Amino acid sequence: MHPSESELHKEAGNVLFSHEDYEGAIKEYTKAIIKDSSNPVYFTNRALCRLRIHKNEEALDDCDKALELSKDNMKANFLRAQALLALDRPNEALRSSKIAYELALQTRSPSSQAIAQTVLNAKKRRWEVQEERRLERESALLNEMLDILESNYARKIEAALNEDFAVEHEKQENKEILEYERDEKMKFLKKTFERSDARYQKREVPDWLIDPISFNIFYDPVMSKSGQSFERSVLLEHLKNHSFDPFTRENLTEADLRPNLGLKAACEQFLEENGWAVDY
Amino acid sequence: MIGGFTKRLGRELNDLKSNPAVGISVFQADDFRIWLIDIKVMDDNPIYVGKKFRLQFRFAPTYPIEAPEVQFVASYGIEIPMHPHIYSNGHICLDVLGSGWSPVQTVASVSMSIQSMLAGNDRNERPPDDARYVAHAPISPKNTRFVYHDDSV
Repeated sequence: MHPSESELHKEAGNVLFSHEDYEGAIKEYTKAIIKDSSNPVYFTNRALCRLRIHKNEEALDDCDKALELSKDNMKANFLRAQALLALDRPNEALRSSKIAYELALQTRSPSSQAIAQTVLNAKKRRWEVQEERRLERESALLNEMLDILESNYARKIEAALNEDFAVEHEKQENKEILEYERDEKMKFLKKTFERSDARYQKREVPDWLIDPISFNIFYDPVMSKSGQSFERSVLLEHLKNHSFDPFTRENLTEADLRPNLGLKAACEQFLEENGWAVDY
Repeated sequence: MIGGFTKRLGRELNDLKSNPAVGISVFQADDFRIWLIDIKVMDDNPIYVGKKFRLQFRFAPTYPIEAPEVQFVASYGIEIPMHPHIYSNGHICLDVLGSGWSPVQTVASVSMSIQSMLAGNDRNERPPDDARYVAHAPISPKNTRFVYHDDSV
């Protein structure tokens, strides 16, 4: 059987892609799509090229089309997550990357490790956005409190200066006392805010949230018979060529693994408050 | 490098530098392909007292799923330690570097295994087959199928 015209364009696109000629490859995939718009591979291939040259909106568009053609397309979901992350839409990126991860596990795709990392990156970005918002609110609140203190003391000083029965040097003395009080309170207020920030800046991940092979924080931990936990995709990489528990060297196969849901939840909660831990 | 292992060596290096084990120090680690780690035997074993030795680690992209390639290297003022399991070309016969490797081992844990292998040794000699082995040894010790000598030494 001769390859169809659309397949020939795809092949030409793949060659250009491998030479990092992304613009050229996009043209070929576009021709393939014109000949046959029912093959999701043409869309996902074009999406990857577009991602490489940071045409993220267009890449996203290609992923959506590929997903219309095949809903459970792992690659389309994975690329979609990457495009959304590049577009700084971490919540949607998180959703797509989680779907891609499940599909990758089902198909035993070697991409599952990279997808798990994308899930974590999306979580990190989501945390960063929240963190920026928190810092903005905190500094706005601090400034407002400082203003209130200042105007409060301005009133008190004004009253002290207008005290009817006081002599002039007493008025000045009272004013200085009030000013001192005001400055001390402002210093204290700023310090209190700083201290609460220091709590947020304690950047340590407990060892038990870290996969002992990749040294990454867990996303999908599984437990071996010995009770040790590992990141699933990482341990599967090990089990490809070996069949022992990395800690005990006891016989271990994929069928022995159980998800560690408690640890997974603990990591999720930790990341909610410590998104930086993804790059730890 | 495959998947998410890129970060692992970076983290190992941080740990080695910020939280080093006694007698183990990083001499050179400019990239994630070859590191040089210096080790000293901490007790007063007369064979090694006052001496420093240098281990070379080579990492394949598959590290830590596959073992690193580890051997002693000589340098100015630094010799290959005498030991019945260490050949004069620096190759080490230690099961953790071959069939005993596990991906939860680290550069630090391997260095410590080798350090304690030296500390526990009281024979100032090379393996019995040293001359023959060194004459025919592959460049990489990982290509040698060592028959692990008894563990009593």
